[in-house]
Amino acid sequence: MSIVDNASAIRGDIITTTYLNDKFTDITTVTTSQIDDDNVRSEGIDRTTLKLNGLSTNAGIILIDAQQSSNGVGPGSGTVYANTSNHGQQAELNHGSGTRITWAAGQALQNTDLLRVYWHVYVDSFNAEARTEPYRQHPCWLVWLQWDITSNALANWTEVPGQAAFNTFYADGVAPLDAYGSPISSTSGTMTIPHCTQFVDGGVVYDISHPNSTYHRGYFYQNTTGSTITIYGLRLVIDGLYFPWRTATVTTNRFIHVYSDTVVTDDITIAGCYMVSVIQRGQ
Amino acid sequence: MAYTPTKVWSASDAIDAQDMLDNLDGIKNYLNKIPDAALASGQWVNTNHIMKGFYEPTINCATFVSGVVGGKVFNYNNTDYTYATGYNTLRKGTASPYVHVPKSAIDFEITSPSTILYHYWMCPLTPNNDDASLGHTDIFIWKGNISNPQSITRARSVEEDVATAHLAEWENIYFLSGTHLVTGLSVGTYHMGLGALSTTAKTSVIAWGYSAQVFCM
Repeated sequence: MSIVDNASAIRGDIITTTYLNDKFTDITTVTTSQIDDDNVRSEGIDRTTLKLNGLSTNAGIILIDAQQSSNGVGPGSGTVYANTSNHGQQAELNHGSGTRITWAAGQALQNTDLLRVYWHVYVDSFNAEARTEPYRQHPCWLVWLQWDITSNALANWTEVPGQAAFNTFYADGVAPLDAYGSPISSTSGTMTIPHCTQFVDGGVVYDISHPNSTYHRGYFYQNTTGSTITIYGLRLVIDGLYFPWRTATVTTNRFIHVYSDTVVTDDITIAGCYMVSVIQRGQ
Repeated sequence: MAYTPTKVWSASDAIDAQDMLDNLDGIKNYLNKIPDAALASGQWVNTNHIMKGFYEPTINCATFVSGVVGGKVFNYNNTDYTYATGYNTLRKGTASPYVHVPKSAIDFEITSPSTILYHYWMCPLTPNNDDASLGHTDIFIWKGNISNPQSITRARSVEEDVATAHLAEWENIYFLSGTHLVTGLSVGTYHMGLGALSTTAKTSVIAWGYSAQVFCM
């Protein structure tokens, strides 16, 4: 209990110095680390009564951290990412500086903390090569989120939880052979950029490049559970071309990068990237 | 730190009105800014102690102690329809023919330092001008005034290639969306909204929307 509860003077009492001192020292006693819910009425706490963190809203009560990165060189230029004949050749989306979100001192993600990441990427142009193999229809580029939870040296990037690196080897014995990829169930931080649309018109197969000079948007969400994770950086990587794959025998939906694909003239030019991360209390 | 009375009377002191007033003023000043050390340690605040939030249906916005969240959606089904072109207007030929997207402007009354997370989207129809160039439509967040675009997203019209008659090439409906973060807002009033820019003659917008989440703590 931390309520001041002393007798009030009544008619006829003589006010003494002892009586007055008791009134004020009772308040001293109560305010010695004892103010609690007994002293605050219902709806007695409002924004104006809270001691917020100076000019920053990262008080940690709801919002723990908010960051953004922006990097772009504008339409008509950018970085070219080419389809490669080998798997696991993902490249960081990098146009110089500013495409990563970093925390030099590390940012703790505690149990129940929410990590929200949003990004949009400007695709300047495509180069699409014609293809006839049925397993190479509907190709796409995959952009996915990585983080570094090791140190601020940012030398140990790994995929965010629920995200695969699309480099699992599958030897299913059906075309395409020796394919690398990952199930689509492991794409929690993936954004797909369609490379081209293939259709058949009068028996003729056409590969039509997807519209360029457009933005594509992706996002990632995590409700942290268990031990505290210290995050030092976020970045996006891109790889391609990948193809959706499922057959009567291969019943897991996958994205696969065909290992034997020697077509190397497919490429994508990306000229901008904007990324936002928000960390907030879950409860 | 506990409250300390200005005056502690000894047995021989006369009870003076000024001393009494000084002590009472001391209590008043103390309660206006209770030090951290006076609060009991450990969690004691329950939900009943927090001022309840309220919802304003007209603007679809909910305000709480921790911040504000709201947004709106506009689409053709609700007779919301607009244009983004600069043609047939004085905007044509200017360097930045920006146009306001209707009903998307918001005034943020910031009463404590805040961070705003803004999401926005639009479905524009951007048919080509049937000339050698392919036009595009941009949407963006503006802050303060429409001449100050922030985060920009873009869709490009695709030429309807009549010669080869591939319907797959006719694709000028594109869903644009983006995110923008505004940090370090101090106390004050801020105006933000959606703007658009189009280089084609017949750009129409059939749906758009936004949401804003203001973090105050």
